Amino acid sequence: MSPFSDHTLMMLNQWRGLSLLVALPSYRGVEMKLLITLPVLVRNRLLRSSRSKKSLPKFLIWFKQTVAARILHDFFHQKDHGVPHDLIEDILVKLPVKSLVRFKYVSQQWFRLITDRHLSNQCKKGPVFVTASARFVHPNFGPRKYIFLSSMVVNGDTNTIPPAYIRIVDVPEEYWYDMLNSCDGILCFRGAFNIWVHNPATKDHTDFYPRV
Amino acid sequence: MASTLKKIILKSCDGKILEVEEAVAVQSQMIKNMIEDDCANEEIPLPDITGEILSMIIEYCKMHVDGENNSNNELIARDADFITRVDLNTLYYLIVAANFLNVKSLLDLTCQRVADIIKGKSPEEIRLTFNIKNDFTPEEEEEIRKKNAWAFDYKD
Repeated sequence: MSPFSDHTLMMLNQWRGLSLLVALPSYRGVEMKLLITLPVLVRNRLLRSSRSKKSLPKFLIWFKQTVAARILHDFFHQKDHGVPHDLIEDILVKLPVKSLVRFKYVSQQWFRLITDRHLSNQCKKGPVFVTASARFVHPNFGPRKYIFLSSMVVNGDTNTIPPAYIRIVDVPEEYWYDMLNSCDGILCFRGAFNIWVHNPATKDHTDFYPRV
Repeated sequence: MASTLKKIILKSCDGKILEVEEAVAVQSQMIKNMIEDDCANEEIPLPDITGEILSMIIEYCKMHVDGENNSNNELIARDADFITRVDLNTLYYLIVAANFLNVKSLLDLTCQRVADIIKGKSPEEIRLTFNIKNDFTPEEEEEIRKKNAWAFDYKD
């Protein structure tokens, strides 16, 4: 149980004979926050303000307005937020890729969680082997901005690919693309001037141009 | 068969006391560890779990112990039945409790349920559900949206 009861006044830190009083709601996250942020914040501020003794009341007002306010804000934010970080991760790994890509844009925290390599490693349900053959466009057709896969087999099962994945759009304009290899569901193509690596699930890509 | 009949006593944060058979209680990895370390002879206080949630978890564990001999499909159907009776608010406390007690299968089940609930939602709805503040600047937001436009048509 939390050592703090609801909204008690707690003597938090004694530093150079100063007792700092803060109203503390009982919540585990807040205690942690206080322990971590207070010594740092207080020390920095106090070193500056304690040069003149007159500034002490000023300091206390500052303290009440900033630190205490921030703690309370964090508390309410966190309480409403509810689900702890590691549990959010547990939930995220169970989502389909499309939802994940969309939820990147929920908040910075979710963006970091979702783009983290740790999560994508957990998401992998098993090895994905893709075999595919890219389309060859006859040079007479002119350059195209997409790759058309004439066939694609994931884990040996032809039924697993939604048709939308077969056409890869927005590639650099080239006369032809040739599929080089695939590994872990990521496809690698070679064009006349570049190497194009594509992840059909997230539609992420990167390209390499040979150094001239 | 004295060992299987041994009772473990659990105490929830609101003072409710529940007696559970050891075979049921060891579904929780945490309690199992406690029993192995011989710390489970007295009642085990569970500070973050209310009596209501605790009895739900015990119901779930019992179901799994009783259903050991049943076919896998039957167990899955029972799991589904159990989880659809739970509303979102309770679900949240269930996840936290399952995490604390370390009941792996229940944690998987509850997280999967949340994932199923939220998977078709828009980022705006997610922010509302979890009460998350959008801390992207409009420019950043625009860029991510543009880059991942394909993920924003909701035809899952």
